[in-house]
Amino acid sequence: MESSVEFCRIIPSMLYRGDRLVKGVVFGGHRDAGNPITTTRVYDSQGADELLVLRIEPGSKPDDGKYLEQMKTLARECSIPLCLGGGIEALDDAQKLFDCGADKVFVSRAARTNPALITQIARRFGNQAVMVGLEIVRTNGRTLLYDSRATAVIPDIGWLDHASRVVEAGAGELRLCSVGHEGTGKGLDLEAFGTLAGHVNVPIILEGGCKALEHLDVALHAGCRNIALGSMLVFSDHNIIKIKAYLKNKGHRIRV
Amino acid sequence: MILKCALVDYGAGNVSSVQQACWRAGTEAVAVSDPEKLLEAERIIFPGVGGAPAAMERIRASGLEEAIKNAVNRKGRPFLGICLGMQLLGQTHEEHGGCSGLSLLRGKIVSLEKLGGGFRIPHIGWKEIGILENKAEQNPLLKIPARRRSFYFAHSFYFQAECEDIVADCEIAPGIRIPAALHRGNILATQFHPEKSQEAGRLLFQEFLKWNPA
Repeated sequence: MESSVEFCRIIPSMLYRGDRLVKGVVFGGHRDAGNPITTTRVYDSQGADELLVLRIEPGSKPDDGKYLEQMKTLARECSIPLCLGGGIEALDDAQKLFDCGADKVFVSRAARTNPALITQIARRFGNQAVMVGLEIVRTNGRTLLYDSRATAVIPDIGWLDHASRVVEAGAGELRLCSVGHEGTGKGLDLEAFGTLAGHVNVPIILEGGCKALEHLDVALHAGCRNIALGSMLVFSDHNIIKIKAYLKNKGHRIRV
Repeated sequence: MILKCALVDYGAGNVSSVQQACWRAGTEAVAVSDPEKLLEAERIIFPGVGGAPAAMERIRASGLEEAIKNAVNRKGRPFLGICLGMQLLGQTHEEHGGCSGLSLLRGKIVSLEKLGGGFRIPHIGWKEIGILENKAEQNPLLKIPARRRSFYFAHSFYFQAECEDIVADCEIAPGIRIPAALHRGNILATQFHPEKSQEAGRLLFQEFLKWNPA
Protein backbone atom coordinates (compact mmCIF):
# COMPACT_ATOMS: atom_id res chain seq x y z
CA MET A 1 0.00 0.00 0.00
CA GLU A 2 2.48 2.63 1.17
CA SER A 3 5.11 3.76 -1.29
CA SER A 4 8.68 3.58 -0.19
CA VAL A 5 9.61 6.59 -2.28
CA GLU A 6 7.92 9.11 -0.01
CA PHE A 7 9.87 11.04 2.60
CA CYS A 8 8.30 10.76 6.04
CA ARG A 9 6.86 14.02 7.28
CA ILE A 10 7.74 15.18 10.78
CA ILE A 11 5.19 17.83 11.69
CA PRO A 12 5.37 19.98 14.82
CA SER A 13 1.87 20.44 16.19
CA MET A 14 1.43 23.71 18.04
CA LEU A 15 -1.53 24.65 20.20
CA TYR A 16 -2.30 28.35 20.36
CA ARG A 17 -4.18 30.14 23.09
CA GLY A 18 -4.20 33.80 24.11
CA ASP A 19 -1.32 34.73 21.76
CA ARG A 20 0.95 32.04 23.25
CA LEU A 21 1.61 28.38 22.57
CA VAL A 22 0.41 25.87 25.13
CA LYS A 23 0.70 22.13 25.53
CA GLY A 24 -1.33 19.78 27.62
CA VAL A 25 -1.97 16.23 28.64
CA VAL A 26 -5.01 14.32 27.35
CA PHE A 27 -6.60 17.52 25.97
CA GLY A 28 -6.33 19.35 29.27
CA GLY A 29 -3.91 20.78 31.86
CA HIS A 30 -2.32 23.26 29.47
CA ARG A 31 1.03 24.82 30.23
CA ASP A 32 2.80 27.70 28.49
CA ALA A 33 4.92 26.41 25.61
CA GLY A 34 6.45 29.55 24.16
CA ASN A 35 6.08 32.32 21.62
CA PRO A 36 4.45 31.18 18.35
CA ILE A 37 6.58 33.26 16.01
CA THR A 38 10.00 32.41 17.42
CA THR A 39 8.96 28.77 17.79
CA THR A 40 7.95 28.68 14.12
CA ARG A 41 11.32 30.13 13.16
CA VAL A 42 13.09 27.43 15.16
CA TYR A 43 11.06 24.53 13.72
CA ASP A 44 11.50 25.86 10.19
CA SER A 45 15.27 26.21 10.58
CA GLN A 46 15.58 22.76 12.14
CA GLY A 47 14.05 21.18 9.03
CA ALA A 48 10.46 20.44 10.04
CA ASP A 49 8.53 19.18 7.01
CA GLU A 50 5.33 21.06 7.75
CA LEU A 51 3.64 22.96 10.61
CA LEU A 52 0.26 22.54 12.23
CA VAL A 53 -1.02 25.42 14.38
CA LEU A 54 -4.35 24.92 16.12
CA ARG A 55 -6.13 27.56 18.12
CA ILE A 56 -7.78 26.02 21.17
CA GLU A 57 -9.32 29.09 22.78
CA PRO A 58 -12.73 27.98 24.07
CA GLY A 59 -15.47 29.36 21.82
CA SER A 60 -13.01 31.21 19.57
CA LYS A 61 -13.56 31.77 15.86
CA PRO A 62 -10.91 32.80 13.34
CA ASP A 63 -12.21 36.36 13.24
CA ASP A 64 -10.27 38.46 15.70
CA GLY A 65 -7.73 40.82 14.23
CA LYS A 66 -4.96 40.18 16.70
CA TYR A 67 -4.99 36.43 16.11
CA LEU A 68 -5.10 36.84 12.34
CA GLU A 69 -2.25 39.38 12.42
CA GLN A 70 -0.16 36.95 14.43
CA MET A 71 -0.90 34.09 11.99
CA LYS A 72 0.11 36.35 9.11
CA THR A 73 3.45 37.05 10.78
CA LEU A 74 3.85 33.36 11.54
CA ALA A 75 3.16 32.43 7.89
CA ARG A 76 5.86 34.84 6.74
CA GLU A 77 8.39 32.99 8.92
CA CYS A 78 7.40 29.67 7.43
CA SER A 79 9.16 28.31 4.31
CA ILE A 80 7.36 24.96 4.67
CA PRO A 81 3.66 24.07 4.34
CA LEU A 82 1.46 25.59 7.03
CA CYS A 83 -1.85 24.27 8.27
CA LEU A 84 -4.01 26.53 10.45
CA GLY A 85 -7.20 25.70 12.29
CA GLY A 86 -9.33 25.92 15.36
CA GLY A 87 -12.97 26.97 15.45
CA ILE A 88 -13.59 26.98 11.68
CA GLU A 89 -17.36 26.88 11.14
CA ALA A 90 -17.89 28.56 7.79
CA LEU A 91 -16.18 28.99 4.42
CA ASP A 92 -15.43 32.57 5.34
CA ASP A 93 -13.49 31.46 8.44
CA ALA A 94 -11.34 29.22 6.22
CA GLN A 95 -10.89 32.05 3.70
CA LYS A 96 -9.50 34.30 6.45
CA LEU A 97 -6.87 31.72 7.37
CA PHE A 98 -5.88 31.18 3.72
CA ASP A 99 -5.61 34.97 3.41
CA CYS A 100 -3.12 34.90 6.30
CA GLY A 101 -0.93 32.54 4.28
CA ALA A 102 -2.17 29.08 5.33
CA ASP A 103 -1.63 26.36 2.73
CA LYS A 104 -4.29 24.19 4.30
CA VAL A 105 -6.87 24.43 7.03
CA PHE A 106 -7.73 22.01 9.80
CA VAL A 107 -11.39 21.26 10.50
CA SER A 108 -12.58 18.86 13.14
CA ARG A 109 -15.84 19.64 14.91
CA ALA A 110 -17.53 21.30 11.91
CA ALA A 111 -16.65 18.29 9.75
CA ARG A 112 -19.06 16.37 11.94
CA THR A 113 -21.80 18.94 12.36
CA ASN A 114 -21.64 20.31 8.82
CA PRO A 115 -19.86 18.01 6.30
CA ALA A 116 -20.98 20.29 3.44
CA LEU A 117 -18.41 22.80 4.70
CA ILE A 118 -15.63 20.37 3.77
CA THR A 119 -16.96 20.26 0.21
CA GLN A 120 -17.18 24.05 0.03
CA ILE A 121 -13.59 24.52 1.18
CA ALA A 122 -12.34 21.74 -1.11
CA ARG A 123 -14.14 23.25 -4.11
CA ARG A 124 -12.55 26.65 -3.58
CA PHE A 125 -9.06 25.66 -2.42
CA GLY A 126 -8.71 22.03 -3.53
CA ASN A 127 -8.85 18.77 -1.55
CA GLN A 128 -5.17 19.05 -0.69
CA ALA A 129 -6.00 22.17 1.33
CA VAL A 130 -8.43 20.50 3.74
CA MET A 131 -7.21 18.44 6.68
CA VAL A 132 -9.87 16.89 8.85
CA GLY A 133 -9.10 16.06 12.46
CA LEU A 134 -10.31 12.76 13.89
CA GLU A 135 -10.02 12.66 17.67
CA ILE A 136 -10.81 9.27 19.11
CA VAL A 137 -10.96 7.59 22.49
CA ARG A 138 -10.64 3.86 23.04
CA THR A 139 -12.74 2.50 25.83
CA ASN A 140 -13.82 -1.04 26.71
CA GLY A 141 -12.65 -2.36 23.36
CA ARG A 142 -14.62 0.29 21.46
CA THR A 143 -13.29 3.25 19.51
CA LEU A 144 -15.36 6.42 19.71
CA LEU A 145 -15.09 9.91 18.27
CA TYR A 146 -14.23 12.56 20.82
CA ASP A 147 -15.09 16.26 20.84
CA SER A 148 -12.05 18.04 22.23
CA ARG A 149 -13.84 21.37 22.77
CA ALA A 150 -16.80 19.84 24.56
CA THR A 151 -14.51 17.23 26.19
CA ALA A 152 -17.11 14.55 25.52
CA VAL A 153 -17.37 11.37 23.48
CA ILE A 154 -19.70 11.26 20.47
CA PRO A 155 -21.44 7.92 20.92
CA ASP A 156 -23.75 8.01 17.90
CA ILE A 157 -21.32 8.42 14.96
CA GLY A 158 -19.03 5.54 13.96
CA TRP A 159 -15.49 6.86 13.58
CA LEU A 160 -14.71 4.95 10.39
CA ASP A 161 -18.04 5.94 8.82
CA HIS A 162 -17.22 9.51 9.71
CA ALA A 163 -13.76 9.15 8.12
CA SER A 164 -15.27 7.82 4.88
CA ARG A 165 -17.85 10.59 4.85
CA VAL A 166 -15.34 13.43 5.18
CA VAL A 167 -13.05 11.93 2.55
CA GLU A 168 -16.05 11.61 0.25
CA ALA A 169 -16.87 15.26 1.02
CA GLY A 170 -13.39 16.37 -0.06
CA ALA A 171 -10.95 16.05 2.84
CA GLY A 172 -7.47 15.60 1.36
CA GLU A 173 -5.77 14.50 4.59
CA LEU A 174 -6.80 13.12 7.96
CA ARG A 175 -5.08 13.90 11.24
CA LEU A 176 -5.75 11.04 13.65
CA CYS A 177 -5.24 11.76 17.33
CA SER A 178 -5.91 9.08 19.89
CA VAL A 179 -6.87 11.08 22.95
CA GLY A 180 -5.86 8.48 25.51
CA HIS A 181 -2.35 8.67 24.07
CA GLU A 182 -2.03 12.45 23.77
CA GLY A 183 0.72 13.93 25.95
CA THR A 184 1.16 10.66 27.84
CA GLY A 185 4.30 9.46 26.10
CA LYS A 186 3.17 5.87 25.81
CA GLY A 187 3.67 5.70 22.06
CA LEU A 188 1.42 6.32 19.06
CA ASP A 189 -1.85 4.44 18.59
CA LEU A 190 -0.70 2.22 15.74
CA GLU A 191 -3.68 -0.07 15.95
CA ALA A 192 -6.13 2.75 15.22
CA PHE A 193 -3.75 4.01 12.53
CA GLY A 194 -3.68 0.61 10.83
CA THR A 195 -7.45 0.38 10.85
CA LEU A 196 -7.88 3.85 9.38
CA ALA A 197 -5.10 3.37 6.79
CA GLY A 198 -6.88 0.30 5.47
CA HIS A 199 -10.19 2.16 5.35
CA VAL A 200 -9.39 5.37 3.42
CA ASN A 201 -6.93 6.26 0.65
CA VAL A 202 -5.91 9.80 1.63
CA PRO A 203 -2.69 10.60 3.51
CA ILE A 204 -2.95 10.20 7.30
CA ILE A 205 -1.05 12.17 9.91
CA LEU A 206 -0.79 10.40 13.25
CA GLU A 207 -0.46 12.32 16.49
CA GLY A 208 -0.45 11.66 20.19
CA GLY A 209 1.78 9.80 22.59
CA CYS A 210 5.31 10.09 21.16
CA LYS A 211 7.92 10.53 23.84
CA ALA A 212 10.90 8.35 23.01
CA LEU A 213 12.72 8.23 19.68
CA GLU A 214 11.86 4.53 19.46
CA HIS A 215 8.16 5.42 19.24
CA LEU A 216 8.79 7.10 15.90
CA ASP A 217 10.93 4.26 14.61
CA VAL A 218 8.20 1.74 15.48
CA ALA A 219 5.49 3.89 13.88
CA LEU A 220 7.41 4.28 10.61
CA HIS A 221 8.00 0.52 10.52
CA ALA A 222 4.25 0.07 10.94
CA GLY A 223 3.65 2.02 7.71
CA CYS A 224 2.88 5.41 9.18
CA ARG A 225 4.45 8.09 6.95
CA ASN A 226 3.45 11.32 8.68
CA ILE A 227 3.83 12.04 12.37
CA ALA A 228 2.76 15.14 14.25
CA LEU A 229 4.67 15.93 17.42
CA GLY A 230 3.53 18.10 20.32
CA SER A 231 4.92 17.50 23.81
CA MET A 232 7.97 15.67 22.53
CA LEU A 233 9.30 18.89 21.00
CA VAL A 234 8.20 21.10 23.87
CA PHE A 235 8.92 19.44 27.18
CA SER A 236 11.98 17.35 26.42
CA ASP A 237 15.49 17.72 25.13
CA HIS A 238 14.52 16.28 21.76
CA ASN A 239 14.50 18.49 18.70
CA ILE A 240 13.78 17.99 15.02
CA ILE A 241 17.42 17.78 13.95
CA LYS A 242 18.09 15.04 16.48
CA ILE A 243 14.88 13.17 15.67
CA LYS A 244 15.52 13.22 11.93
CA ALA A 245 19.14 12.16 12.33
CA TYR A 246 18.03 9.24 14.49
CA LEU A 247 15.36 8.11 12.00
CA LYS A 248 17.72 8.43 9.04
CA ASN A 249 20.24 6.30 10.91
CA LYS A 250 17.52 3.72 11.38
CA GLY A 251 17.19 3.53 7.61
CA HIS A 252 13.96 5.49 7.15
CA ARG A 253 13.46 7.89 4.27
CA ILE A 254 13.95 11.28 5.89
CA ARG A 255 14.49 14.65 4.30
CA VAL A 256 17.46 16.39 5.90
CA MET B 1 9.17 52.12 -13.06
CA ILE B 2 10.48 48.75 -14.20
CA LEU B 3 8.71 45.79 -12.67
CA LYS B 4 11.32 43.10 -12.14
CA CYS B 5 8.96 40.29 -11.30
CA ALA B 6 5.16 40.08 -11.37
CA LEU B 7 3.05 37.50 -9.57
CA VAL B 8 -0.19 36.88 -11.42
CA ASP B 9 -2.90 37.57 -8.86
CA TYR B 10 -6.25 36.13 -9.95
CA GLY B 11 -7.64 35.31 -6.53
CA ALA B 12 -6.66 31.63 -6.51
CA GLY B 13 -3.35 31.62 -5.00
CA ASN B 14 -0.77 31.52 -2.43
CA VAL B 15 0.51 34.85 -3.77
CA SER B 16 1.87 35.92 -0.40
CA SER B 17 3.91 32.70 0.06
CA VAL B 18 5.47 33.12 -3.37
CA GLN B 19 6.13 36.79 -2.69
CA GLN B 20 7.88 35.85 0.53
CA ALA B 21 9.93 33.18 -1.26
CA CYS B 22 11.08 35.69 -3.90
CA TRP B 23 12.05 38.07 -1.15
CA ARG B 24 14.15 35.34 0.46
CA ALA B 25 15.78 34.84 -2.93
CA GLY B 26 16.61 38.55 -3.07
CA THR B 27 13.90 40.02 -5.32
CA GLU B 28 10.81 42.03 -4.58
CA ALA B 29 7.97 40.50 -6.59
CA VAL B 30 4.73 42.43 -7.01
CA ALA B 31 1.24 40.95 -7.11
CA VAL B 32 -0.43 42.06 -10.36
CA SER B 33 -4.05 41.65 -11.37
CA ASP B 34 -4.12 44.34 -14.10
CA PRO B 35 -3.41 42.85 -17.57
CA GLU B 36 -1.72 46.06 -18.78
CA LYS B 37 0.66 46.06 -15.88
CA LEU B 38 1.52 42.39 -16.39
CA LEU B 39 2.93 43.26 -19.80
CA GLU B 40 5.40 45.67 -18.19
CA ALA B 41 7.00 42.98 -16.03
CA GLU B 42 10.46 41.67 -16.88
CA ARG B 43 9.50 38.19 -15.68
CA ILE B 44 6.33 36.54 -14.45
CA ILE B 45 5.40 33.94 -11.85
CA PHE B 46 2.02 32.24 -12.16
CA PRO B 47 1.07 30.58 -8.84
CA GLY B 48 -2.14 28.78 -8.05
CA VAL B 49 -4.03 26.45 -5.80
CA GLY B 50 -7.61 25.26 -5.89
CA GLY B 51 -10.08 24.25 -8.57
CA ALA B 52 -9.05 24.61 -12.23
CA PRO B 53 -12.40 25.63 -13.83
CA ALA B 54 -13.02 28.43 -11.30
CA ALA B 55 -9.46 29.66 -11.75
CA MET B 56 -9.72 29.69 -15.58
CA GLU B 57 -13.01 31.55 -15.34
CA ARG B 58 -11.38 34.30 -13.28
CA ILE B 59 -8.38 34.48 -15.61
CA ARG B 60 -10.65 34.86 -18.64
CA ALA B 61 -13.04 37.33 -17.01
CA SER B 62 -10.18 39.57 -15.89
CA GLY B 63 -8.47 39.79 -19.28
CA LEU B 64 -5.37 38.09 -17.91
CA GLU B 65 -5.53 35.27 -20.47
CA GLU B 66 -4.51 37.53 -23.37
CA ALA B 67 -1.94 39.33 -21.24
CA ILE B 68 -0.27 36.08 -20.17
CA LYS B 69 -0.18 34.80 -23.76
CA ASN B 70 1.25 38.08 -25.02
CA ALA B 71 3.90 38.21 -22.34
CA VAL B 72 4.95 34.62 -23.03
CA ASN B 73 4.63 34.40 -26.80
CA ARG B 74 5.25 37.87 -28.15
CA LYS B 75 7.45 39.40 -25.49
CA GLY B 76 9.28 36.18 -24.59
CA ARG B 77 9.31 36.96 -20.88
CA PRO B 78 10.73 34.30 -18.52
CA PHE B 79 7.69 32.63 -17.02
CA LEU B 80 7.32 30.27 -14.06
CA GLY B 81 4.07 28.33 -13.48
CA ILE B 82 3.64 26.68 -10.08
CA CYS B 83 1.28 23.75 -9.30
CA LEU B 84 -2.15 24.82 -10.59
CA GLY B 85 -0.24 27.55 -12.42
CA MET B 86 1.60 24.76 -14.25
CA GLN B 87 -1.55 22.77 -14.96
CA LEU B 88 -3.43 25.77 -16.39
CA LEU B 89 -0.73 26.09 -19.07
CA GLY B 90 -1.96 22.84 -20.63
CA GLN B 91 -4.76 22.29 -23.14
CA THR B 92 -7.49 20.68 -21.04
CA HIS B 93 -8.08 19.98 -17.37
CA GLU B 94 -10.58 17.35 -16.25
CA GLU B 95 -11.30 18.65 -12.73
CA HIS B 96 -14.93 19.41 -11.66
CA GLY B 97 -16.49 18.76 -15.07
CA GLY B 98 -13.47 19.99 -17.01
CA CYS B 99 -12.24 23.17 -18.70
CA SER B 100 -9.84 24.28 -21.37
CA GLY B 101 -6.49 25.75 -20.35
CA LEU B 102 -4.19 28.42 -21.75
CA SER B 103 -2.65 25.96 -24.24
CA LEU B 104 0.84 27.40 -23.86
CA LEU B 105 2.13 23.84 -23.41
CA ARG B 106 0.81 20.71 -25.06
CA GLY B 107 -0.87 18.06 -22.98
CA LYS B 108 -3.89 17.37 -20.84
CA ILE B 109 -4.28 17.33 -17.10
CA VAL B 110 -5.90 14.21 -15.67
CA SER B 111 -6.62 12.67 -12.30
CA LEU B 112 -3.86 10.75 -10.51
CA GLU B 113 -6.42 7.96 -10.16
CA LYS B 114 -5.71 7.14 -13.84
CA LEU B 115 -2.30 5.82 -12.79
CA GLY B 116 -3.81 2.82 -11.15
CA GLY B 117 -3.00 2.75 -7.48
CA GLY B 118 -0.44 1.90 -4.88
CA PHE B 119 -0.32 5.44 -3.54
CA ARG B 120 -2.56 7.81 -1.64
CA ILE B 121 -4.46 10.65 -3.30
CA PRO B 122 -4.00 13.61 -3.01
CA HIS B 123 -0.28 13.19 -3.51
CA ILE B 124 0.99 15.23 -0.54
CA GLY B 125 4.53 15.36 0.75
CA TRP B 126 8.18 15.78 -0.03
CA LYS B 127 9.82 14.03 -2.98
CA GLU B 128 13.23 14.01 -4.50
CA ILE B 129 12.89 14.94 -8.15
CA GLY B 130 14.91 13.36 -10.92
CA ILE B 131 16.34 15.96 -13.27
CA LEU B 132 16.70 14.87 -16.87
CA GLU B 133 20.14 16.20 -17.67
CA ASN B 134 20.22 15.27 -21.33
CA LYS B 135 18.16 18.27 -22.38
CA ALA B 136 20.01 20.58 -24.73
CA GLU B 137 18.57 23.84 -23.42
CA GLN B 138 19.51 25.36 -20.10
CA ASN B 139 16.87 25.73 -17.43
CA PRO B 140 17.09 26.92 -13.81
CA LEU B 141 16.58 23.42 -12.36
CA LEU B 142 19.89 22.23 -13.78
CA LYS B 143 21.70 24.66 -11.49
CA ILE B 144 20.34 23.07 -8.32
CA PRO B 145 22.86 20.72 -6.66
CA ALA B 146 21.84 17.08 -6.44
CA ARG B 147 21.56 17.04 -2.65
CA ARG B 148 19.05 19.92 -2.76
CA ARG B 149 16.39 18.43 -5.01
CA SER B 150 13.63 17.61 -2.54
CA PHE B 151 10.43 19.56 -3.04
CA TYR B 152 6.94 19.68 -1.57
CA PHE B 153 4.06 18.34 -3.68
CA ALA B 154 0.30 18.69 -3.00
CA HIS B 155 -1.99 17.76 -5.90
CA SER B 156 -4.64 15.34 -7.18
CA PHE B 157 -4.12 15.83 -10.94
CA TYR B 158 -1.05 15.55 -13.11
CA PHE B 159 0.17 16.88 -16.44
CA GLN B 160 0.34 14.33 -19.26
CA ALA B 161 2.99 16.31 -21.07
CA GLU B 162 4.98 15.99 -24.27
CA CYS B 163 8.13 13.99 -23.53
CA GLU B 164 10.39 16.69 -24.91
CA ASP B 165 9.00 19.25 -22.42
CA ILE B 166 9.64 17.15 -19.32
CA VAL B 167 12.83 18.28 -17.58
CA ALA B 168 12.24 16.63 -14.19
CA ASP B 169 10.09 13.82 -12.89
CA CYS B 170 9.25 12.19 -9.59
CA GLU B 171 8.40 8.69 -8.49
CA ILE B 172 4.92 8.76 -7.02
CA ALA B 173 4.94 5.05 -6.20
CA PRO B 174 7.55 2.38 -6.94
CA GLY B 175 7.94 2.33 -10.72
CA ILE B 176 5.37 5.06 -11.43
CA ARG B 177 6.80 8.43 -12.46
CA ILE B 178 4.99 11.68 -13.16
CA PRO B 179 6.31 14.94 -14.62
CA ALA B 180 7.62 17.23 -11.86
CA ALA B 181 8.76 20.09 -14.08
CA LEU B 182 8.28 21.17 -17.69
CA HIS B 183 10.33 23.50 -19.83
CA ARG B 184 9.72 24.93 -23.26
CA GLY B 185 11.50 28.08 -24.46
CA ASN B 186 10.89 30.79 -21.88
CA ILE B 187 8.39 28.74 -19.86
CA LEU B 188 9.37 26.76 -16.78
CA ALA B 189 6.61 25.03 -14.83
CA THR B 190 6.71 22.97 -11.65
CA GLN B 191 4.14 20.58 -10.22
CA PHE B 192 5.74 21.03 -6.80
CA HIS B 193 5.70 24.14 -4.62
CA PRO B 194 9.16 25.75 -4.55
CA GLU B 195 7.78 28.48 -2.27
CA LYS B 196 7.14 25.79 0.36
CA SER B 197 10.34 23.83 -0.18
CA GLN B 198 12.83 25.63 2.06
CA GLU B 199 16.39 25.85 0.73
CA ALA B 200 15.70 23.87 -2.45
CA GLY B 201 12.92 26.31 -3.30
CA ARG B 202 15.02 29.34 -2.51
CA LEU B 203 17.69 28.11 -4.92
CA LEU B 204 15.13 27.58 -7.66
CA PHE B 205 13.69 31.10 -7.29
CA GLN B 206 17.20 32.52 -7.27
CA GLU B 207 18.00 30.74 -10.53
CA PHE B 208 14.67 31.63 -12.12
CA LEU B 209 15.06 35.29 -11.18
CA LYS B 210 18.29 35.53 -13.18
CA TRP B 211 17.32 33.13 -15.98
CA ASN B 212 17.75 34.37 -19.54
CA PRO B 213 16.17 31.76 -21.79
CA ALA B 214 17.55 31.71 -25.30
